[in-house]
Amino acid sequence: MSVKNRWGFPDLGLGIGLRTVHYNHILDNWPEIDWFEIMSENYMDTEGNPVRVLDEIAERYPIVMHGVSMSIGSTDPIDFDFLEKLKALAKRVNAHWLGDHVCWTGVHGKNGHDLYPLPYNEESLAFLVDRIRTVQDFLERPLILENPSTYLTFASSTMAEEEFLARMAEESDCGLLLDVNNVYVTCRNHGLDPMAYLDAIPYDRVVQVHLAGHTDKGSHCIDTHDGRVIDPVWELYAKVQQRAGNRATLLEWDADIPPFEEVHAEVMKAAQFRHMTELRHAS
Amino acid sequence: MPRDDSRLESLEQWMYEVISHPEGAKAGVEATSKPDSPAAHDLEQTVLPSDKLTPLERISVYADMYFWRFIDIMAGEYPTVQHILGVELFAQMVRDYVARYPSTYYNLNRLSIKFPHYLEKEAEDLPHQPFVAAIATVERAMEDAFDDPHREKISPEAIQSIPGEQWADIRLQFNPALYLLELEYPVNDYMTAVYENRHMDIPQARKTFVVVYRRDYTVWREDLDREGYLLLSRLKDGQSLGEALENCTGQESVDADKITASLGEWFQQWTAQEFFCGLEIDSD
Repeated sequence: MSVKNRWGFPDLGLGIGLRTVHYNHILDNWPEIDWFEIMSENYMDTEGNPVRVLDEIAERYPIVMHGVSMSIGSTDPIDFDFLEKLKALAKRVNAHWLGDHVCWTGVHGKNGHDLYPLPYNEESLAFLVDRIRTVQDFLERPLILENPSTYLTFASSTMAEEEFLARMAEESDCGLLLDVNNVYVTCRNHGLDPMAYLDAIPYDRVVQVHLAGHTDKGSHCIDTHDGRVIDPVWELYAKVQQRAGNRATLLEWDADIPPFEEVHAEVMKAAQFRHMTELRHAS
Repeated sequence: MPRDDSRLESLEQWMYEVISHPEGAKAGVEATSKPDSPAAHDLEQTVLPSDKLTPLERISVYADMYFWRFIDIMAGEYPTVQHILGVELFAQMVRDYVARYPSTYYNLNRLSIKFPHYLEKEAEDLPHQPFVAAIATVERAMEDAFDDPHREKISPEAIQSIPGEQWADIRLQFNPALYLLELEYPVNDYMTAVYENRHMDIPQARKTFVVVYRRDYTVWREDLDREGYLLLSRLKDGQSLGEALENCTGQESVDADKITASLGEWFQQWTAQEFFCGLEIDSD
């Protein structure tokens, strides 16, 4: 059976991550796609072409904001200037929701601009929950946080990632963006069962789902967003749809980005799984 | 009781130092394993192996991406600098630069603000150093102009409506996305050749004046002649047109007649290019 998310955020349907190389195609054709997700930072600290294009697109399509710089897991002080800009952008584009990743990106004032892992233990959980609450209070809306792809395990971790995420969401009252490609990549890198991972997710807190391609190095996988979604990831997506019902679903393609039509065709593959979910519910 | 996050902070500091070490993760691990290191950790006791990767190989995944990301971003910002230096030397320059000036802002668009200065003043053994630095200055200005605030241009009607006797008293507000650059090398033709994939020899040093500006959300770069540059610079500094003209024509080796003769044409052109976004007329 499916569950609704607890905030009543809508199922926006199938969306694509808005990327610069597709601006002209979108503005010239206004393609049939349900919604766009923007990388928040690409539209902050600029008053140039990106925000001009975004303003036009936001008039016609629902927008969701997803960032990479909140560094919610960093022990550095919270950057309220950043949050102020994030809040202003969300108002400007009437964002349905906004989020980031369960990670840290830097410490002691230095920024690596990558999604670094946290140790999954009681100490970091308590720290993270406090930070999420503070940020949510400031933004006056729930944060929708994504499970990251991770490449190492800290010896100080005492719980599985999925348990950590479930407790984090429950204790901070935040939402989850479930990236099924990241589930696959992380489980491959740590020798875990992705289906068991998905069993532990609290689906009433899942607001959005991400799909993407990755690079398989043999010894490990890297979340490169540079290709099609592989079949095992589609299987995970099918399971999420089964458990959660239809959720706003987005395809990320960030490197070697093909023409818009190709990205569009890839995300439309998700329609069959969504249709099966609808049939199941109808029966 | 207040929560103690020092262990998490120490772990984050350690991992950051390992992955950002200019000589790679192994050197980072060695540097941070010394007891006097502020975030001393033992790799084997901090990171678990997987079935296929050792702890060092696992943390190296992050270390490999650390500099690669910055090189990728800056190659997009400085394509001509990369063309001159070649891929490997450019990558090394970025590594050295990031080690010297690590990113401290949440947005990557400020990462390379000091790169032109670094290339001009601090980079060692850099071939064609002054030319490369001049190119970097222009490419940085183009990046800044891309993101700068947008202001509506001044209308031709507003310019035309100024009575002739008040022209000397006007002060112009400039398009915020406009940069006036004085360079030691001619760069524009070379940059165009690189963008068009044509070969061009590195030019001889020659004082050059360039304007970089954004119009209709597109960034442009153009050479200026010396007189035009001097006049625009003074106007941009806030001088009235009368003051700016007096300052320019009073300078040694400035062709005052040229300025007088070109003024009308320049203003027509600069207004069309959206150099100005407003004007004030001194009341006294």
